[in-house]
Amino acid sequence: MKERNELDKEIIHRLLDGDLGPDEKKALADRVKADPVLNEEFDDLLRVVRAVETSERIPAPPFFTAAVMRQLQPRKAPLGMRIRDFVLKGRVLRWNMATAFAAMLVFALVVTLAVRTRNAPVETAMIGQQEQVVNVTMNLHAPEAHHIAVAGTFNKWKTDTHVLTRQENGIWTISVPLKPGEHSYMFVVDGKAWVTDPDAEAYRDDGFGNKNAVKRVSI
Amino acid sequence: MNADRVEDEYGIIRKVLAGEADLYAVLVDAYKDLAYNIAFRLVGDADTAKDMAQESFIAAYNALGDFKFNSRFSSWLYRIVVNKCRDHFRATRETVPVDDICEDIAGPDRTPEQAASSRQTGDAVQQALNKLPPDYREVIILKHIEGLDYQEIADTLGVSISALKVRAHRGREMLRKLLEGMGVTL
Repeated sequence: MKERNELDKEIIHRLLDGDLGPDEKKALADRVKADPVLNEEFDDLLRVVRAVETSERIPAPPFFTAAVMRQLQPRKAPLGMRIRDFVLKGRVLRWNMATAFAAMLVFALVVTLAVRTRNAPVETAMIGQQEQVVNVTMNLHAPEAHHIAVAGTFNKWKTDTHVLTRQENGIWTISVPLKPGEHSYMFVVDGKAWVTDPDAEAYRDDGFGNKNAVKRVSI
Repeated sequence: MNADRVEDEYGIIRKVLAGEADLYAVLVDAYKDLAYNIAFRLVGDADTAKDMAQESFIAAYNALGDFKFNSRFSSWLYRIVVNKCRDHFRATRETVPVDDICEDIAGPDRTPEQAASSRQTGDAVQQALNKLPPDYREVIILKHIEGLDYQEIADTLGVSISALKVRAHRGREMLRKLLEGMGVTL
């Protein structure tokens, strides 16, 4: 009997859930009519559900929306949109002396940068000029010598990179490509004697008791 | 709710996400009664319900970037409100064992006449709802007050439909006994 009662209750709840088909509904109605206890239970449950379903909807208290909005943290727009708004959005600029001075400072900086940028090609050209070289001929009269080289600041004082050529008149000669500027040098005769160029345009002490020859090159 | 209104809501949400936070007020205004009503039915107290509903809207706003644009805002909000109320239950440790409820139902301290005369039916229903275990209460409220179907409730609560039907069945039986015990004539 109890099992039957539970089964009937189950069917009533399926009805309340909207899960009963027409035949099941008719069978339930027949049983409810025939069983006063089941009828009372069915009636009670329907009244409970109806009372719940028709209970008054309670409105939110006044100023609810304003209270929520006050508590919201500002939301950051996506970066792309912020950039777009910054560029395109209309705005009113308010000036005071501080902003005016700041604007002047920025303007001065921009002008300075522009001038320096305009000068930059000149500097580049100068660098280009420094890359240019001038062929300088160096001679030494030494008819008895067998080997003469020139060493200087232009070849880091190496004694075997710039070798002079002997001519029939006993004059040794070489043409050295030099960049514009001042260059010190000496001749190295037969690999052992360091000889100062007697025809140099200038001389400078080498710190070892001798004098280096000096060649100034300009374009 | 028709598709146009859903699209309108999606448009508002996209604008809010793009930085127009003030537009969120449109959504709050549209759903404040729904959120407050569910919260009130779940927690049974006006002040707490107001807090739960407001916190739900703030949580929804903060999580708006996670909104998937494949459901209604209201469905999403249901879930947030229910979860807020669950958090409240956990924080206040509101757990009512079924046995205690049955004892409460049979309580002899008030006669049916006194109870029936001192309460409106609506108040009695709310008091009975308050005494249901939260799991049962959620289903009864969403099914019989908010009128959601079981699929929507399953999506909201993350519970299977068969489990929800068992809860609804038990919840209705408990409500019946509770209201009987309170001497309420429906």
